[in-house]
Amino acid sequence: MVADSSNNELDYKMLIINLGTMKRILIYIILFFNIINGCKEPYDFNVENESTNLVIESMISNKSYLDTKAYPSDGRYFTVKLSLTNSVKNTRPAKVNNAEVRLEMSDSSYLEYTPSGQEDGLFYLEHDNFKAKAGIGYRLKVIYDEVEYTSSWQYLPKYVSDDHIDTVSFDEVEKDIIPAGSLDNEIVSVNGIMVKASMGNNTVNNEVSYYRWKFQAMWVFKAAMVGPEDPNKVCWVTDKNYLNGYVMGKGAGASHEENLFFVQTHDNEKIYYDYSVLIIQEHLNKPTYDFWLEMQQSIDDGLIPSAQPYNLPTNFSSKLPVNGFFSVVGESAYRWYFKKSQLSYYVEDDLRYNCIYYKDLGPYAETCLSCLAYSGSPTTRKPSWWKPN
Amino acid sequence: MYSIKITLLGSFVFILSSSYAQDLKSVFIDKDANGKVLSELLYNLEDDYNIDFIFNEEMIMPYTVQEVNGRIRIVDYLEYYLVLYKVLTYGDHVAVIVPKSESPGFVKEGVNLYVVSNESFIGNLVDGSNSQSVIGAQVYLNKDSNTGTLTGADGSFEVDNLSSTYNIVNVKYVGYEGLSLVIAQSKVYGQNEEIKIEIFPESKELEGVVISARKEDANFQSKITGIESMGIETLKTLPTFLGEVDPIRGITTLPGVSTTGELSSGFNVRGGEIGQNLIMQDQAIMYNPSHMFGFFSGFNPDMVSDIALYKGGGPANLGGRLSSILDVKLKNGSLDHYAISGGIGLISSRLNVEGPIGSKVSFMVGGRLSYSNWLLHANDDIQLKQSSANFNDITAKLLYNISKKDIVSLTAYRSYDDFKLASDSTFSWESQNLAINWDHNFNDRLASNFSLSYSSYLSEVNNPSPVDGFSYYNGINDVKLGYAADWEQNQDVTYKVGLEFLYNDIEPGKLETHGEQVSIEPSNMHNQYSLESAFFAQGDWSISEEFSIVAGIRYSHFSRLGKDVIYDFDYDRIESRYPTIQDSTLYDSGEKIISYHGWEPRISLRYLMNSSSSWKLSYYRSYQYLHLVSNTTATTPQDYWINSGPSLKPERGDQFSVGFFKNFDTNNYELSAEVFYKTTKNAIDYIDGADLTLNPSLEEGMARGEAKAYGLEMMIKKKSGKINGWISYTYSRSKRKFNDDSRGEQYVINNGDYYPSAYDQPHNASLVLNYRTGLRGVLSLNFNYSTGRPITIPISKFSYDGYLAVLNYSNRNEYRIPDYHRLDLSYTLKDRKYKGRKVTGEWVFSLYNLYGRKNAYSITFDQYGKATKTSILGSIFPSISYNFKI
Repeated sequence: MVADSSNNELDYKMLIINLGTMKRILIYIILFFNIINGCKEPYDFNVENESTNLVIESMISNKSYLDTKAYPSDGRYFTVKLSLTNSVKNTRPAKVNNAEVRLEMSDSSYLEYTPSGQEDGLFYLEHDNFKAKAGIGYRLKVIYDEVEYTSSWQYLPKYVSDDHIDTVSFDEVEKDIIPAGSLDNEIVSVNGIMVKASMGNNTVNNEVSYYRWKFQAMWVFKAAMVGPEDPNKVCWVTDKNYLNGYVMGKGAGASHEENLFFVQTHDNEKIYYDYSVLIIQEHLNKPTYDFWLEMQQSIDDGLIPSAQPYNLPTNFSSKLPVNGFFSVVGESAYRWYFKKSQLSYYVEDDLRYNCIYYKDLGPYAETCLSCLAYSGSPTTRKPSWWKPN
Repeated sequence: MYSIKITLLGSFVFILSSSYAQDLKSVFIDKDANGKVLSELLYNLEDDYNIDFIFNEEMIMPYTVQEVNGRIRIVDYLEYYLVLYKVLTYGDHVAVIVPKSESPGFVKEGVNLYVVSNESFIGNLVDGSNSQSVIGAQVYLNKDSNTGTLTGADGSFEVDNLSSTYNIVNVKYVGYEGLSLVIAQSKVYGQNEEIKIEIFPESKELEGVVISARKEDANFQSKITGIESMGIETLKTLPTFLGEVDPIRGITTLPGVSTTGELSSGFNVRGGEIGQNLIMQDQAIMYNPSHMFGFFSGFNPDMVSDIALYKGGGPANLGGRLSSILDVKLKNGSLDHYAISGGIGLISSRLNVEGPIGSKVSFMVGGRLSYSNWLLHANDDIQLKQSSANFNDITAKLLYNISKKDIVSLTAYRSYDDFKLASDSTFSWESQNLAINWDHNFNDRLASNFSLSYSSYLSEVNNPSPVDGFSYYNGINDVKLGYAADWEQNQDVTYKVGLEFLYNDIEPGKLETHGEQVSIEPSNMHNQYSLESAFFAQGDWSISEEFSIVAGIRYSHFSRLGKDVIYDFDYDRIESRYPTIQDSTLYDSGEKIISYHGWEPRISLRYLMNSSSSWKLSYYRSYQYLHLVSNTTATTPQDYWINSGPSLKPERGDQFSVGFFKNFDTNNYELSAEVFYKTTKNAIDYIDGADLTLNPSLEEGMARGEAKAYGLEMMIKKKSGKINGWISYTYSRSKRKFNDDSRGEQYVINNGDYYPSAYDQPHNASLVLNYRTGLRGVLSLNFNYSTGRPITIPISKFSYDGYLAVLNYSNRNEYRIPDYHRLDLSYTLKDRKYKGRKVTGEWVFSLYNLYGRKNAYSITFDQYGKATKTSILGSIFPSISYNFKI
């Protein structure tokens, strides 16, 4: 073949021009079309053959009502909650009141639960001193709509008498969060504390022990724009939607620390005054641990595809489908108090400033004038056991 | 696919001309020659001067020498006197006299004029524009078109029975300019070396042509069913996503092959799982054939020669996977000249360089690099703004033509991907391959291939946080050794025998922590080691013109080896879903833990009904000893492999198929209809709530049962013309059943009834249409449809403890996501081609997802059971790229 140098030069020039042209075209196309228009949108499945299951929520432990008052706390009776499953499109589950609920023991004795009368679906075991004992089997029996639902026999886990939380402390940390109510899911970095518990050497024979930690928080809230003599100035607040999750863990042998929960410091009025969390430790047997762990893991919403979905296990048997898991746990608790003065840095109480700043031309916001307007369950009655450091 | 063509590369000695010969140009005649019979004059001159005149004696006989008026060169006289003839000189001593009516218009020594020393003409046909071998071209005698041959896989050919004088030999290949050769025979001055012949693409309007190494009638002639092959030129005509040619996406337009949609790093064949496909590139195993979760191919399209997919076991030399074998072959670098090619795309670019090293060695190196982050950062979504995605790969091949009998090639490949989604964790995965192939020809009927390859795949999730950072790895390494020999007993009978060994070293999962306050414990699953070996033998018999049989047997053996710890489980003590460990056994390094073996018969029958149609019947059995574990409903690069073991038996697949194949209109149309039925024993699925990550008891999270798949695949294809393409439709079902409760009730799925597998897509259709708009443009259209994949959905919810909604799910795979369909359009505009042009290129404009359908990649449910459909590509997706070659 005869090489034509002039054509070669033209070829290379055209290559360069083509590249430049393409770059311009690319920019125009990209601006015109909204690229990577991947999207998420709601989708409706037509569910066939919907059925309704009974849901039984129940637990007993080795701490009686009177034992729990000594944590200190307001005290807790053992309860059973009954409800029905409902369609994923409905929001409110139906509660069940007309059922017989009984706790049977392996020594052939039993105790009856009584309906609460104040809350639908709630049944109490109103015995101040009753608590689970080692070596005795317990099972729950529910009769609803002429159908019997019976749990398998459950026992206290081994070595629960060794369980305790030695100390609770915290580390000052920074954490990336998406602020509640954020419209654009922007991640921000906030200061806070990671609360951790130190467990003593609580196992024998190096067997693995399984735990679940739950939290009951209470804090002081003060209405910023009224004086100290106002009866609605100071409230003690609880909120069932705050710290309502749980932490799972397991340990064997040596003592160890467990990170429990994070509390934001700046811009968090919960810690402006006194803040307290009752940390409840449940020592579980493995099936119960797996049940709670699977419940936690069953909630997943991410870009990476999820694992095969599955139904939670149940230890109830019946001729109809049933949900729920009856468990007997070893329980202990630690009452932890916190003040913002324990931090190495200053946290400003901006409640008063916010009341004034957002006042506009009208009256103050309700929470500025009465602590009872604060969200959650505020009460002006100070708990008898409230003794912050 | 192609059987290995036996190339006859004899070594011949070029015979030098006699030292007494004189140059033709110095041979004169004078007036004394007048009146002599011309042919006698020429013979006398041959004797006197040791030159050679080649001519048809009968044609020249009537002529006598006249009009010689003075001293004149003989060649000048012949040109003047024989007005009806051309006088072609070859070298200094040969003149060939050819009638003008038979001779090509343009004749030039070394271009289309050759002199050989005997009645065989051996040549090698290459594309003059890129030095690639031209395969399947027709080479035949002009006077007798039945005397000729097709060029082989390396472009070689041999034409026998040449006339002792001159021959006109035509070379014809669609899309190329025809070439006429003048081949003369001279015992003294002829050569016997293989002659390189060049042909060039047509510079006039091209017909739509698929350039592949398949014979035109392979649809009904080939003796084995369930094979789909595609040349890289066909792949390049399909509309692309962001200008990226993807062989995997290409084969999903063929019947029986589907994918789970965008962001799928694999494909499904006849309802089988992704992990049941073996993918090889030049004999080295590829564990992840894609980049960026499946958006882009892991294969460099500029380096791929062709791909072949065996649906089912395939020939006896292939095995190890139940569903398919995908064999990707790379090109060889040019032995003649250097070339640079590449492409610039929206988010990635590639560059390839090839050329000779000396006269016997060629190299080819290609690389790709992505720069997609600007695209992510241009998005409004905050999470994507803070994300990044990168990939790069490099492929290299060295070819060494040691001799006519030995060719050695070395192929190396490395690819890397990483992806970070807003959070601190980075997902990355890396593949490395190295393959050596040695082809040896004992003679023209016996050839062998020796291959040695190494493959490595590693995936990692890395969280660098100083507080709770961790790194999670899994991976697989293997070394494969193979030897196969092909013997052609005669044109009706060929045999193939061979051995194969595969050693696997698997890291099922390892977790390292490096944060100060890590709450998770480090963990390291024991590595798994195994040795797979196989012996195979296959015969290919053409019993008669109509009936042929390919029958083979493969014997495979698997050994799981230490060092490893194997647990013994107590199925009477089930804690939640898993049996408790009651004992464990430590195996030393190399110690055999357990072995499995099996015979894998492979048989294919073909019956030719007539010259254009056939029936084919086949049966394959395969064993699969490695299993891909996926913790998600769609596969990801973090999925990992495990060996069969004491608790996990190998899967065994049996497949039957029967099909009807017909060609129309001189092989321009192909029709195929094939029915298959496939059963799998020891199929695997996961129990509810199976914990498959870093779980030493993970095998106990697997239920064992059976699977079946059946279907009808149909395709009609038009191969050439202004409009060409194909339509394929598949109806198939893929179901599984797990009803063995001997280990516990948790191993029974869906009450032990058959349920659809995750890849059950009853209807699957593809349309590919190419339209040649003119000299250089091709408009391509691709439409895909498939039934929505099965899905398990929440059917009710309840509140429990602090959770407002806990979900109850339907039976596994009881519902379906919406159907998938998509239309793509692309336009390819090639630069003008002319002889001597050094830089050529093409623009590719693509519109992917033309009507902007929001196909469901997945449907996820929030904690309240509300379904959200996620579409990866929710609108039309344009792209433009420019490919060039220097």
